[in-house]
Amino acid sequence: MSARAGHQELGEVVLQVKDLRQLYGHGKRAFHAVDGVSFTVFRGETLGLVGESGCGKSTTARAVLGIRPPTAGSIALSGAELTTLRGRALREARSSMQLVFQDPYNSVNPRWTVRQVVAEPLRLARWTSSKARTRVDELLDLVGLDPARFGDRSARQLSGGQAQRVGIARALTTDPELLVCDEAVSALDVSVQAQILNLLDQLKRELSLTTLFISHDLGVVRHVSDRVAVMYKGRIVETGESDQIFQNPQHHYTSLLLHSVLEVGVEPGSATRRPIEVQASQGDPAAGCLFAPRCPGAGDICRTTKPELTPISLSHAAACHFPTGVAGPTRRSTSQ
Amino acid sequence: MSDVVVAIEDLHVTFSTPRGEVRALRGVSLEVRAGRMVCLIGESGSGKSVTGRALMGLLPAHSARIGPGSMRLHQEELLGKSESAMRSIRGRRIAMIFQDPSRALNPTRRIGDQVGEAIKIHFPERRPSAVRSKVLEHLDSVKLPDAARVAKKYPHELSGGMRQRVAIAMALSAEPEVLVADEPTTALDVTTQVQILDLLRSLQRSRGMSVLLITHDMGVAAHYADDVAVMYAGRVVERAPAAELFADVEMPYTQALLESLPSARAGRGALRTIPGGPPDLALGISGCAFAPRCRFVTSQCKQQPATREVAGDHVFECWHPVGKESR
Repeated sequence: MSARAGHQELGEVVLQVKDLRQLYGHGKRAFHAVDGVSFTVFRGETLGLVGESGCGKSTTARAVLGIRPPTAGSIALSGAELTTLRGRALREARSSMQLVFQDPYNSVNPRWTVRQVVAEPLRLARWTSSKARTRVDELLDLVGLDPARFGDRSARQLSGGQAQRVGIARALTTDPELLVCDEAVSALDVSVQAQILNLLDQLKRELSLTTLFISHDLGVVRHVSDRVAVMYKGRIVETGESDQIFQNPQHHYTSLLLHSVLEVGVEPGSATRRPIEVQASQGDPAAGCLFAPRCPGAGDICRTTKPELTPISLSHAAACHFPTGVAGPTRRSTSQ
Repeated sequence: MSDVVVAIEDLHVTFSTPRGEVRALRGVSLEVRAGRMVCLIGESGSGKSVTGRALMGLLPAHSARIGPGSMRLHQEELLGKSESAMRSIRGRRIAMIFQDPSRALNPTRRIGDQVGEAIKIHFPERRPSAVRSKVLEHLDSVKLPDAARVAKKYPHELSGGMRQRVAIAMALSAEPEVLVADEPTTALDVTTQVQILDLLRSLQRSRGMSVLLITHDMGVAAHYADDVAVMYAGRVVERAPAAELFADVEMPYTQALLESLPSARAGRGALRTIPGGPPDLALGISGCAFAPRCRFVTSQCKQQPATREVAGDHVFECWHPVGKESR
């Protein structure tokens, strides 16, 4: 957070997560799936939370949404602390956060019509049916589905892209303060994925949406995010504006991730040519940096002292004793 | 050409489903040459996995009708071979790995025993001591650290990437000429993906093996393929050596796919989208299957485009190609 101090376009804080911890398991086998994560999402921006499987990004999202309360830490939505809310107050707070799922089919009742699916949050919020109907048709229009054509179809008659549009419409019905997208385009074919990414972009501009966007796909994250937080083994290892992270990664793990991305017309970097990691036994609390065993830049201090997230420049911070300062791979001259 | 190991020609596969006959492959033509890595690329439902399974003789006999068409391993026709005849080819001469390596592994048995069993199936004459040393040799060859230790482990004790390495070791234990790899890295993290693909490429080169790599990922094809074949609605619509294809795309579909990829290296900006969706293969398709979504469509596209070839073994099916070579 200190990295953002003094930044001018901070704006209004929508979500503030502080020192979030999530402990799974008991006794000797207990481990922190999320181990002291702090971040802020400002109004109208998209924060991309990126990392590989098991890094804790989805666990973080589940804690934010109140699906699984955290072991420790604070989650504040527009200034209201969520972790201490119970009952009705919690339900109300939850309705101001909505989730877009990875699999749009499994997240809805296949027998329902598109209108019923989109109207569900309104039904829970006790809207009258005529008022809800107008709102639902507005939303279907907004996500590019003609209500007259699609409104009465059953969800199972939709293609993957149409179903994800319905998922987005449903998430927007209650005018949420915060939209959480958990791998929302990961299951889609690229041509359909592009349609949904463009739709999210358009909605962000039209509705000034505030979004926490979780994905393992670096191309997608770069495309949607204003700022990015990179997670590794339950901690945020680097955070900054999207261009800072992708053009000037400071943490060696961010750098490895970027070098591992396979894109047409770009040579992968030499950083990918590493011996494979020998599996560390789980639950063994490593004293130093968790990435040190794989890190090409690790020194002695990395094995003994955990690096804290430290500002590198305005709005850019990395948890690394020896930040890289190296730019990403350059484009090949033969690129089309 | 004599160095063609696998030749698939005008292959048709039809599935009987409750919705009617689904024509999953509508005349696929594809060549895999000796010692080459061929990427078969396409979106879901394009028929890329069906092609791989047809070659392996793994399509369900009760619902799949294979043919007309031809699938040859060297000069030997595979289409119409009996199951017992296929058994001497599958695994032995053409092996396969899958997206989920757990499919190839028994969760209740130690890795070493399973690799040993695969060796014994293909080489029943080998003595137990020879099998044991072969197990370690195979585990070593897929760059697993400390093969002896890994051999004693159960599948669940290994990471996804290590399990895929074991699956590769088992698939290669019979020293096949061809490996069919169906989305082998799709379930893996990006950092692991590169390591597995690097491994596949180095094994392919050192053994002079041919690999048919089935993937939905253009980036994978661009970095690892010697040759690329792009599938759409049950046909290979464009194929070429990778360098040639990515330098000068001819099919509007291939071009649109490339332009719809978000990039980790470029900034934002609207992505190119392909309107609509792929055709329903249960309905009849006449002419170019991509025509309804194509921005260059004309009335000519109602006719199935003839296969055209431009310089450098670049073959495609389109009336209105977008490349430099064809103009």
